[in-house]
Amino acid sequence: MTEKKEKPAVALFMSADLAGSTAFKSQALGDSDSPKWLEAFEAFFREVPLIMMGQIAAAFIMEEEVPRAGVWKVIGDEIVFMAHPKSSREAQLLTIAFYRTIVNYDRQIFERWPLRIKGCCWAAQVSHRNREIEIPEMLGGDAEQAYVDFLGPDVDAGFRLASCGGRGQVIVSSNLVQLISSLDESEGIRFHYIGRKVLKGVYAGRPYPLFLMSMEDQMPETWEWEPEHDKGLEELRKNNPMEPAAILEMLERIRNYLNRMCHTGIEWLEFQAD
Amino acid sequence: MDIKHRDVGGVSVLDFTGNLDTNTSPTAEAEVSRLLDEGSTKILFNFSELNFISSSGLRILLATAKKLKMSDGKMVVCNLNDVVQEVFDISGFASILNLAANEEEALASF
Repeated sequence: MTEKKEKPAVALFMSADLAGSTAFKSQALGDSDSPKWLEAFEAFFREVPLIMMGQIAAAFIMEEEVPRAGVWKVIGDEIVFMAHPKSSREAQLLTIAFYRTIVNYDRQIFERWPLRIKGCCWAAQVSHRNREIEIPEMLGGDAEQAYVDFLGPDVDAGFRLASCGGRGQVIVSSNLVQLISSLDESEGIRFHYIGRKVLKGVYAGRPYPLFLMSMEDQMPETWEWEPEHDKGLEELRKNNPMEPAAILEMLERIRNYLNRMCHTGIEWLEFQAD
Repeated sequence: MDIKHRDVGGVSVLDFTGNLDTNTSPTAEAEVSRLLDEGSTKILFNFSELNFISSSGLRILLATAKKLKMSDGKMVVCNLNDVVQEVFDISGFASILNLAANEEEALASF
């Protein structure tokens, strides 16, 4: 009898980043002891995790369980959430929760301050390719569990990818796009292909495919006079998402080419529960 | 954070004191799991002495509500101070969970 091989866990990362914050900090100094911009930042760090938890509750309303998800890192003006979804379905619903958090909070923060937020969602199979490592010297662990970090090409790719999204937008990694596009039920998720870009150290220096996410019932806020009036903004305004079958074909062609020619070892995400 | 457990007419009442956040939520989760394992199907979270709750605390409430729903049980949260009420309002949990103004009202709702 052969034993069923256990598939390694998947880590899902979701980054919410304040856009326009540097300019805001220099313009909103105020004349009191605490600068005016501080209020906006305190609100961002307090409210976004709460809204995210509320959106998780809404996304998982029909599910029996809710996955563990929480703030993994805060880097400057950026909050990075991390979750360990146990199935493709959980990864899909967490992505929806994150998307709605970004789009809703983008509208809220823009009503109060001259700020926008943008999001990036990416995933890594924690295997030989991406590893969890304990860092005992790092604050944040406790007596029983040291601080855990993640290292690997798919983790790095997400941080590079995050810089490619625009204000109010959610950009999604190719492996997560592949996973969600292969599911029978879309749950209203759509992907907009906006082109390719070389991301340093990713895909052996070949251009990385860029996808923005939208939902059938909720589009990101797009302003034609944004400074970065870019391809992503244009594609979202066209409201013409790419068909899942076409996405899967394109991503498979890219993966086959890169693995054959560049030995990149790109793998699609797999879950034990699927 | 401190959690004390009482039984009031078949309802498991959990009295929280302090902050329910990333650091303290594992303790709270263990206490709730113990109650569920023992077969409790009616749980009241009394937050009269709770100063603050974070998103990780909200996750425990959500997970507990789901487990109780599967066993035809019920969960109520009562005595929210202004800070905790604001957290519930921002997150939308005020419209997701059963809330009561005080313990008397909460117990009557089971």
